[in-house]
Amino acid sequence: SIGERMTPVLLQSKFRETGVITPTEFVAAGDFLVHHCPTWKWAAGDENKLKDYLPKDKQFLITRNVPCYKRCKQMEHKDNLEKIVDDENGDGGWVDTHHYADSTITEVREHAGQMESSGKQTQVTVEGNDDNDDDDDDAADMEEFERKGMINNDPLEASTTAKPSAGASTADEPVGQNTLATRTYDLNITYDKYYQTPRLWLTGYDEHHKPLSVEKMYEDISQDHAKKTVTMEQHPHLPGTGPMPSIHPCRHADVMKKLIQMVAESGKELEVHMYIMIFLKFVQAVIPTIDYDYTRRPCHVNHCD
Amino acid sequence: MTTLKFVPYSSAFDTGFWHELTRRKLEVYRLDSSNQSIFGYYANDANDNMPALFNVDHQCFDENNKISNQQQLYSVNGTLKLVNTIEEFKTFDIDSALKTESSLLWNDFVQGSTLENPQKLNRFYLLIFADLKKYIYHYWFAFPTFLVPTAFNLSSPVKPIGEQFSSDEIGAISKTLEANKLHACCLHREQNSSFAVINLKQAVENLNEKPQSASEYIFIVNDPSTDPVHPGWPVRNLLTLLYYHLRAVEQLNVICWRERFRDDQQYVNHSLYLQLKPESISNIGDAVPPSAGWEKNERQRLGSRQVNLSTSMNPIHLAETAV
Repeated sequence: SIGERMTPVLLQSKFRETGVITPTEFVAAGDFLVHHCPTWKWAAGDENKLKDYLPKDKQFLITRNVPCYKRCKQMEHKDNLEKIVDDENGDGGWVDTHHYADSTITEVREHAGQMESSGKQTQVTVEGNDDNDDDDDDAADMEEFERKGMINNDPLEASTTAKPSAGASTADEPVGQNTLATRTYDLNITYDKYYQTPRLWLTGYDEHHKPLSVEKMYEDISQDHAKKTVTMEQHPHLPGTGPMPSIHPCRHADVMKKLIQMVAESGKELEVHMYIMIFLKFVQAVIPTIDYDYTRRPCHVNHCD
Repeated sequence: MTTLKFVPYSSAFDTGFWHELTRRKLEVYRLDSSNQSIFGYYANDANDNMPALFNVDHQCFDENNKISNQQQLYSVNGTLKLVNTIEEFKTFDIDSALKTESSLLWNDFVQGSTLENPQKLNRFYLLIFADLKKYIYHYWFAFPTFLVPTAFNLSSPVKPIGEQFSSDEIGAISKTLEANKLHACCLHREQNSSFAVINLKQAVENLNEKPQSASEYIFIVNDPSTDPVHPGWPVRNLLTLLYYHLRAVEQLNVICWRERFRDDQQYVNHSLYLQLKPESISNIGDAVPPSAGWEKNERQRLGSRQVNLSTSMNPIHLAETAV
């Protein structure tokens, strides 16, 4: 964007005063994340899109193939778990929907576990689940590209027929072993030069690892945030021109600043290298069913009231 | 005795791959449908219940741009065949393509270069027809493996490493492998309950010289599978390689190495321990044995797959949805 091009690179640290970070601080916080949570890796991206204010091999962070077992609307909405992290300016703020629950993920895993042990899938009723509408067409299309008369000639191949995860239930799909067909996401964290904060991008894939349409990806974004917090834009480091959903960074610095203040009030100091780890925790509210955060919850953020 | 079975790779394209493929088709390859060298990669840190994913992304066209410097990612070389018409795609001779690709794999096995460079344990073949008018991409992956030997007999059932090794031993193994970036290697158990990394070539030589020392050697291979009893393709190919090169060894110990990072900790206890009784296949000679490996489609039948990117690539659609 023009705004991004016109904005000079932030050189002086203003983290404590405003919650924004410099590219150097972004790299330090990224290094810290990659070191403590190696599911995240640095990426270089498209060579033609290198940003000179970041090291060549540390342009953005990526984690791949993150499972997303169920849709947001399938999540039980429990009001008593909610906590408004930032409600001062009255337009919603960040609703941390699982502030008091240990983790959504445990719940989802249990759910997945139940389906495994019961052998037969549990039918989960989902309103407006239209995943199966065009199955007949798909089958005809696929048949056209199948080789007739060729059977499985490999006796040492284990059966991998995946069972569908919740919300993707297809009654006639054979139930196999140990593999759960689930949506997955690739998540990227870039440095947003204009807002001077990290920015999270999402690419979703269906149970067969085909790209999800934007509409389907919206099913995995908390309805409180879907229309106002998530925007579609061109990824700054990847090839192509397709718009990709990203969590708009306009509020990130504010939230961060509040967290810094809260921590300061409790007599501690929030270090800048923790920035991305903490960032990942507050964006979880926007994408509550994407199971990406494996870092320990820093206690001073958990009890910041 | 039961035979070991294996989980095949499940192909996973990054959307960026298709963007880069489109650019190259229009600007570089044009009508050139000759074989191109590309690479893909697998990881050994997937979540439970995930398929054994094989990833390709926008970087995979550039052979020099290996991702092997990254932890938990293991690169695999392959061949890209980009055909020009849908008819060519539909009637493509998949048998001979697989034969050619698997002979590359086999020659490296028998000549010993895979023992020196275990990155050569895997190869792949990727057939694509790109319908650039409709933004529909037809593709078909083959991950060649051999139908020889016909069985890998287990001396004891597959188990997680925690049931075979003490936590001290697992700690020592983990520490030994910490800086290891190889797709596969071997550990030798030392006197002071520590382990030393030796390369596959050295391990095979040692074992052929002193077959009775087999219990001191543990082969390590990074495994993309998350299945509790079935390892993935790299394990299968390593076993074939070892069955070819080992002469009179009665016992083969293998760890299918799987890692996971949670709460600042490395977890490896879901790695699998295999104990096999190898039967040498060196007598089959240099002729390339029969192979398998074309990926099945979503219906579990032998057929290609397709991806439709019109909503994210078609400029008309993009203009309509633009805010």
